[in-house]
Amino acid sequence: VLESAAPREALLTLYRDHHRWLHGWIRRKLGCSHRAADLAQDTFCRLLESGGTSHPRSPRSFLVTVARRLLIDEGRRREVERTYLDCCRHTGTINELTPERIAEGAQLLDELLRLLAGLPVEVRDTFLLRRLDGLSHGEVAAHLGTSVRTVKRRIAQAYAHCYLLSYGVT
Amino acid sequence: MSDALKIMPHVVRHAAEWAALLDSDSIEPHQLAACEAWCGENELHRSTLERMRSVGARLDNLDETQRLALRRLDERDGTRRSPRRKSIAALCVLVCAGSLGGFLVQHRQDADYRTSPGERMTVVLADDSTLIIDSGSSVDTQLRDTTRTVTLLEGRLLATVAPDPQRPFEVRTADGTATALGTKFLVRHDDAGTSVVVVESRVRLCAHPSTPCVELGAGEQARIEGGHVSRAQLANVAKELTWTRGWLEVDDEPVVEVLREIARYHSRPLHFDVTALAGIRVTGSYPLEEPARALRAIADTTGLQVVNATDGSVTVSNPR
Repeated sequence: VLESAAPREALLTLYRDHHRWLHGWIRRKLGCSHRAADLAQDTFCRLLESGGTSHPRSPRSFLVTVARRLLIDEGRRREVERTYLDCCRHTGTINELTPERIAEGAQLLDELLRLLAGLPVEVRDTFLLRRLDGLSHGEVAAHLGTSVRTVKRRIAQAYAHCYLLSYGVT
Repeated sequence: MSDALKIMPHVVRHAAEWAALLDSDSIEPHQLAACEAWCGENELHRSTLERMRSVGARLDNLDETQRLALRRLDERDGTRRSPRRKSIAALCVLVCAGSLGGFLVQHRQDADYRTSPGERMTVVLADDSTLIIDSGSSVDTQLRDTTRTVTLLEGRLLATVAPDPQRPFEVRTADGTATALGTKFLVRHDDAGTSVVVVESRVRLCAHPSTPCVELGAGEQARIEGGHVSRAQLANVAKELTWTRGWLEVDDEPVVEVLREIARYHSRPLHFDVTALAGIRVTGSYPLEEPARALRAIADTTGLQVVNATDGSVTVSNPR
């Protein structure tokens, strides 16, 4: 009991002393009070989920580090959602959408983008031409002006990368 | 199947080779049999390959809209071809900052976004503007009701800014401020000052402290130095933007300048004697994300020697 109580105690102290300040900091970043309130709340939730915290030496800098990551994530998610909605308009599927399906679709896309993000550009291009556009290895090779052997090597590289990111220990 | 599957590098490597083979359209019966035999050897082999292929299947299962969205998002990524945004594309700023005074340096540790050597980061701000932040940079952002300010403490950035007549967008360095009046522009800051290149539309340039400001149009560039703004010759805009795609493009420039630029991307110390290399010029395209490859390419064309020391540092010297 003691072990779990101590981090929670520390979190409560953090919340009591710095929640208002953090809300203000995020609001200045976003220029929107409502979303700032959500994100400030999310910051503390994130800490709670991660099993609480000890007393950080500089609490505000610590909170800002966590909040900043959430801000970046939020920016990404908004970008993905907006693009997804644009594409739904484009393909005429916008009327079939519900808020849940938008969120699901955007999350799936976000996860895939994260997987692909660490790949060298030429590997990513090769992999997407094959898996997304359905070109054969020969067609991909012709399209990129490279050999079939290179295409195969890059696809192996993409598979290994995505696998390690999905299942590997970081 | 347990979630905690052992990760053995050689199994992953082999599985990836099989996955790529199964992925191809021409697979021979004997290859298929060999793959099946490999999977049969060990449960780890089979599950690793299955999981690996499931990642590919996630892409296959996307519907047409999701495919389109993934393509667009992938292409929009700052590390790729120049992003053309129909809805936004209002303003582009490229800022480079060298060493600054103590006051700003103090704040680098607390900057909103920081990149280490070799790292490039794309950030979408809450107003939908995008920043591509170059290697070794520190950037602060403040979005308020009436202003949008990006402060470049160190390094370089390219900003694609969402139009908002109510809130001007400005990029600040220690030398001065570049304010977007329309679409695209580009700013460079080094030890001595800040340069601005306008890609599209107009930009107002003001030095610190306030002196008469200068307005620039497309293709024009100017420099802020010692509290004054002065116009310079027309810029090669396309060349200035190549770093956003991970390339350094050089047309007959001193090798010393090029090495300085590559050093910014190199995670380990890069040594060279400026005097000994003076007068040597290079032309070419160098991959910034692979500084070692870039150095090899330079060595090949110039005859310079690149030596890797045991402590990880690299020295470029002239053997003649």
